[in-house]
Amino acid sequence: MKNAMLTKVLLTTVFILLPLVLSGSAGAVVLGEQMYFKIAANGPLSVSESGTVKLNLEIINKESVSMSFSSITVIVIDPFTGDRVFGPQTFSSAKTVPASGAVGVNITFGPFNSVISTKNKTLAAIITIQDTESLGGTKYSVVRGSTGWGFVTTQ
Amino acid sequence: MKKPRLRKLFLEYVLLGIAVFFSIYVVSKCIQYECRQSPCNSFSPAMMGVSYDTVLPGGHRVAIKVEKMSVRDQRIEDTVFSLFKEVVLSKVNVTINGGDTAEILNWATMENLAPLAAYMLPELLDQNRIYLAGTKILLEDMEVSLYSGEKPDRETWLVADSLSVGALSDTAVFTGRLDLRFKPSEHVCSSTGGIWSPSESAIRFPTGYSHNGRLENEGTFTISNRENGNIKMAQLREAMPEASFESGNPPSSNQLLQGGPKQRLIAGKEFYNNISHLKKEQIGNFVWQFLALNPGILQQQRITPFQILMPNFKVGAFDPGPFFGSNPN
Repeated sequence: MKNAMLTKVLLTTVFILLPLVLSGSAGAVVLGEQMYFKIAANGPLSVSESGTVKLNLEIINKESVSMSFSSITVIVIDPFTGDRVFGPQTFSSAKTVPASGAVGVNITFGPFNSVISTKNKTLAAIITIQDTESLGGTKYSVVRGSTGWGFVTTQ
Repeated sequence: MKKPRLRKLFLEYVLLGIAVFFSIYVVSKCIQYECRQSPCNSFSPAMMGVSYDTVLPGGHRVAIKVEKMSVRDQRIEDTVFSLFKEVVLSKVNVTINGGDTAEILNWATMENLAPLAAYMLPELLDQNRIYLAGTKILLEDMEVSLYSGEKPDRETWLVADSLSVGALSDTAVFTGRLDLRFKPSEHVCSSTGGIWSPSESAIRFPTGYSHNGRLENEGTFTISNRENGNIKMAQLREAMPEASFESGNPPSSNQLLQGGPKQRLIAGKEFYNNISHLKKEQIGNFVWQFLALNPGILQQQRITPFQILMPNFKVGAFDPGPFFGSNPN
């Protein structure tokens, strides 16, 4: 009788807790979740200080349903000094990417400010892709994927 | 006779249990799906009227009143970064009974503010949560008043539009209007804010400031010994040629000898250990977005170009792995 009671208690605990554990907490932030797109970039490795950077982006939908994005944003930083040397610059580029498919987008950004007027500076362009979401009548551009592209400045 | 009955009961119970299991699982998944479809975790219901009393390391009492607290995703202009949260404390009124100027500013760090902000984001107190590293606390419309002990009435000592502090950051960033008064009649203000560096005991003004009504260029205003009238001034260009608003200065060897920067809520090494088990793509998203929001974080964490670029000098598709001394797949 005692064993039956104990079994009931154990089973009840398992039946209630296990699904919660398996599904994860609804409010928890999980890195990588909500990042529907993977971005691959190709472009120049060296850029003159007065020049611009042209990047060819391949945006890959990681989900099993088609997903849309509305814009792409570029911020250029000097990761060694912590300077933000350019941006944010946003490119409107509304596109729908089929399930597990990819689309190509070309972007051109720059020139940069005088803070990089020395050669051989390694800079990082941070590229984010956004989807527009509406909450309470206000529209927000929410980041759904990101990558980084490094280049060196020349004279 | 008894055994088949027991077996039947057990079977019924198991079947009922499986039904409960699936119900809870499906409901949990639905809630998560809803949250994913809309930025519902971007904003949380606000908490109104919070009071918090604490004591500074020097023994002086601090009373904080916050009119409203809320949580939102961090942003750069219109772009929302849902991986990174920000606890916003609006209309913050701080009253301090005595205390040294630098001691009070040092107190306003993530480490000390986390217990207050944890009302809105309990995860702030859990050091193992990886996103703690990217969380910020923003104090909006802040007013600090001081009971000096010499005068019976309190005097307003600091007024700021906003003060932002982060878990990994050594600095606290003021944006908008910053108005700071010293005894007996010294006054420093800026319309564009500045960066408080505890290790230097100084505020860096990237776009100039006013000192006793006199306009000064961008520079660093040292607070040490301010109350004794021992004023030290240093120009930013001399100290750090390429500093920007987002960046922070590493402490000098002399300052390190004096105790170094204030201990952070989450140590850099602990942060690397926590992140190193994640998938490369997850790290990539975290690192790039974290850098976009905190361009000066590598410098503040004393991560050198050598560490970033090794083992191979990489430009082009930057690999975030070397940022953390590992290359997990």
